[in-house]
Amino acid sequence: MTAVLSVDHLDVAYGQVQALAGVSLAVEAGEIVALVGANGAGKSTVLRAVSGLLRPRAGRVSFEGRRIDSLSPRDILRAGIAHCPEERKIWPAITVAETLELGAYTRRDAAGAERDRRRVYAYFPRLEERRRQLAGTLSGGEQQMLAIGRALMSAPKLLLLDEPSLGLSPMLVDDLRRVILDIHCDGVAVLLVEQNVHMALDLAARAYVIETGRNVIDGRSATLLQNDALVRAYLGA
Amino acid sequence: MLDLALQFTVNGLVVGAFYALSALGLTLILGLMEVVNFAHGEFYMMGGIIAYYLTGVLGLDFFASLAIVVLVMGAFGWVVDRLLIRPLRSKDTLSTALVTIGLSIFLVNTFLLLAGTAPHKVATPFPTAPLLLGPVVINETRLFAVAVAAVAILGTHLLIHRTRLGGAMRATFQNKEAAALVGIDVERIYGFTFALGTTMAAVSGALLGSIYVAQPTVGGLVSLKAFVVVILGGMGSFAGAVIGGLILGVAESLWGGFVSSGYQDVIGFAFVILLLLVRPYGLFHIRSERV
Repeated sequence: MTAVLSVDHLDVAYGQVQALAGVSLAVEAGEIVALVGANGAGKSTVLRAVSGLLRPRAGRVSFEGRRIDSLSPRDILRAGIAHCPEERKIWPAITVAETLELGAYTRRDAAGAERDRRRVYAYFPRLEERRRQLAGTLSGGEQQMLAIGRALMSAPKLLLLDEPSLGLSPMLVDDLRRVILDIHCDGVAVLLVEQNVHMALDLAARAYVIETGRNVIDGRSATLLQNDALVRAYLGA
Repeated sequence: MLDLALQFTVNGLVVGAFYALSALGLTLILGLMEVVNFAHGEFYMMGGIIAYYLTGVLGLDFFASLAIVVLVMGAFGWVVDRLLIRPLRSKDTLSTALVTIGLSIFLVNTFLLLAGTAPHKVATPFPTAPLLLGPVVINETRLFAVAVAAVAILGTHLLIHRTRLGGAMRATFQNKEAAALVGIDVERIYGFTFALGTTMAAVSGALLGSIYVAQPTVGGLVSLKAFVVVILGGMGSFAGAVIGGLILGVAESLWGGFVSSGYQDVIGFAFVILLLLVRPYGLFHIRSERV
């Protein structure tokens, strides 16, 4: 098993509050992995530590065999990890087209960026229709698409997706599920944080469950779904 | 009477162009970076004093001196951000406000020591003879200074809206975390923005020093007027700073000309108080930015 991302015994604290206490996980090349758990379990914190927004206090994060836990977000992005953050974090007064352009900010290959822009518009035809609109005027679902598109513009090998289904209608969640599979089929690994556990386990081959900053259990999604106690405790079924 | 009104309006537009340029610098720092910068007027003052020193004492060419002011004050602004503002970036605005008050006091007194209390004039190569444009009197120094201010305002607008760096600035100020996640070095953007704002104040001071005078103690009033213009125009609004600056310049000039020159400096503050009663966010507040 060759993990492209491996997180080992990660400790993160916000001031005096310990947010993660020894979380470990691994993602293999091209794999979809879900990270699930209750609100406040530390799922987003894991993603923020991986993408360099937070400095872990202890533990290590490696990507393709290289240690990345002291790199800047910029260098981590260039190594091939893109983070689509919680709550979308779009730029309200910037157009759709320019947002995607900024998504390719660190790239030097104009032809590759152009190819990825077409790919994003193929995933999300709505974005192409609205490419001249300011991001702040888009609907919630469109903003989520834009946030994912922006992350894909860096041509990542691993995409960190934080709560992409939050606030979306069931129909949009279906679209989203299809797009995540498309991204996966294009060879991008996905680490998916989700409240919508059924969608997450349906998409992901494997999943990690964390609680109050600690690993609880992990395994193949199908196996986890058969564990009734687990489903009741963490998966809200 | 009408000719006189026209003359006052033109005078007001000249002064207003500098209010606009200086306020544009402050709107970058206050409106976008959310640093309440009380040293803004001192950056303006330094532009004037340095330009006086280069032209009057060293005898350098006026244009070369302006270029040096841009470089020196840009570097100075970057250093101020790096040493004083950056460590307080995640703190509340009160902390940086206090630091900039301290910086302001330090700069005023340093320049009083270096340049004395007397007003200095920035030397220009332009003839002092007045130009007559119909009933309006103006001179070449003023025309040139207004042209430079206009080019600086337009150039900044193009920089922010048409370049990669400008895109990175807008992204950083609309959502810093998302900017970091696309690989923008947000600390560098902050440093650059502060340097740009500082430079705009300094250029404004150098140009106005060629029309009026440069003096170490002028900063306090300049700061207040820049705040007036920024609030008048709406925090962070580019068009607001420009139009607010012109309105303030013309209002002061008309008031000073027709009513009472003694209360000229009061008019801007009266304007702001009245405007805030009606439009609490200023003339051009961009609501979508609150998303």
